[in-house]
Amino acid sequence: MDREIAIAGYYEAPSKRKSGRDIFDWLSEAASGAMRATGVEKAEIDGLITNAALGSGGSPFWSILAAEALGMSPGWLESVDIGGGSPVAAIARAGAAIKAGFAETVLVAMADVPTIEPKKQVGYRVEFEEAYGPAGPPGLFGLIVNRYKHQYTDPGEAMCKIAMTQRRHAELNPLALLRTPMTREDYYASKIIGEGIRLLDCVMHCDGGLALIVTSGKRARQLTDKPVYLTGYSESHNFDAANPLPDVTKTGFSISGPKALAMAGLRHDDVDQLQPYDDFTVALVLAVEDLGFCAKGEGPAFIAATDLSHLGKLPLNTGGGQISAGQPGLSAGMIQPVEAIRQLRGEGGDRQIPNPKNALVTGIGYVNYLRNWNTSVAAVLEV
Amino acid sequence: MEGKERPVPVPTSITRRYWDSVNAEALAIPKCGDCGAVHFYPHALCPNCMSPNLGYVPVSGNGTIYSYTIIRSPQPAFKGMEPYAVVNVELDEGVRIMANVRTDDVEKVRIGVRVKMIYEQSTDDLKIPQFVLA
Repeated sequence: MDREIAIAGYYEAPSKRKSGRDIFDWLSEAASGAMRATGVEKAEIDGLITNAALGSGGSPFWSILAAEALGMSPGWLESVDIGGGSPVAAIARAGAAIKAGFAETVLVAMADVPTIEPKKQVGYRVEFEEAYGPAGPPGLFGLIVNRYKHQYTDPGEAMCKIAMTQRRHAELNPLALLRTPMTREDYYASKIIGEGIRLLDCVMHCDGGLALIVTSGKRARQLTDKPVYLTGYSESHNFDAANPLPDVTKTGFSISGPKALAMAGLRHDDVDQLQPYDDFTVALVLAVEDLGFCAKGEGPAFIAATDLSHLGKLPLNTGGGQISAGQPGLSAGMIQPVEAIRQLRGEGGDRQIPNPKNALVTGIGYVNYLRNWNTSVAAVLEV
Repeated sequence: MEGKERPVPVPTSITRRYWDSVNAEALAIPKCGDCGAVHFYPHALCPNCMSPNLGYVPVSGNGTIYSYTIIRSPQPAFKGMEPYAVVNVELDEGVRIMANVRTDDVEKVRIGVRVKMIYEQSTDDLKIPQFVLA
């Protein structure tokens, strides 16, 4: 892929639990923060894209309300509703609109307030899942962990290492909410939600907002001396949908991961940082396998053998990921690209990766009925 | 989901026929009249070939646990019931269904274990499928 889709700058609002702040308060902070960071004026922004949020009340007019809240009159407007995959997907959609000539400078602004406006699940979930008390996503992922353990090996130690590695990174990230050092003993002492999933395997909801400016390569190079380019991108949704008996340990990353890397012309060994969507630690075990870093079933061995620290061979979620930074609802998928961009610009502070040239970033959305997650978004960012 | 009351299924235009079969204690699953594929939960079109020509075929109620979790920290509506088993059961007829296994010993709920469907009263006028160890 050419260097025609670029990110000129970003902003991440400090997340907060039970903030009491309106969702558009967060969105406004994120939007103005990204504009300040890039020097882009309101008049220049001709596209706006946001995320369908847990705290949106299910509004079918969400992007319209967002534009109104921001006082913007964009020539291109969109809301992305593919769950946690929405923010990474929004960067690609903004890029596609730019390449098509529909817009030149797009504000990608994400916010959510899940801790003050929890929303009920709708549709078939009440009929076929919620009546059985699966305890939400932790229970649904417990079903995946136990099947994985049955088919391959116990991923528990790998999950512990992921949790500890990311917490260590969060200690070095002033914006992370969970920064208390975590030992192996702490991990194993944390309570079991559903067998296979401990509290420290899970994300914690918080309120927050993040935004960035996507523009043409040419304009980005005028705005900043540190543009970051989207050089590879692929999505996979509703993986293996027609199969009534799917392998729940396999995900759509087996399709979108290799495609995104190939588009960027990168091999796995070339990847300087892995910033994968982390709703649960086991998601990263499955992700490293399906993205192609190792064979199916070898994720735990790969994770055990690989230095995942910011100074290691494959730096993993160097800001602490969502699990230690906090998950601002459906805007949380922006944590991964923002951290990747921060690192690529050399703005990683105490957790700076030495001279990274690229990043593999992912997004995950929704968990299907007795399957794995629905949406597997993979993107390559490069300087 | 966050509330104190247990969620109750509300049949839709797509799922009413399924819930009627459950209430009659003769659970039936959708089967495509064109390609023959079975699926679950019920859709309006066959997920395999997108045909609307769906019939319902009864199941034996026998199945094998494909996966499970034991809930130890439930949401408010299920507090006091823990520990309880949430299972993904593969019915002998080739679909998977979520339910609980009603047992005094959740340690016996493991992958590969055979189970048998029972019908549990959810509300005065609605039953839901559940399982016991076979």
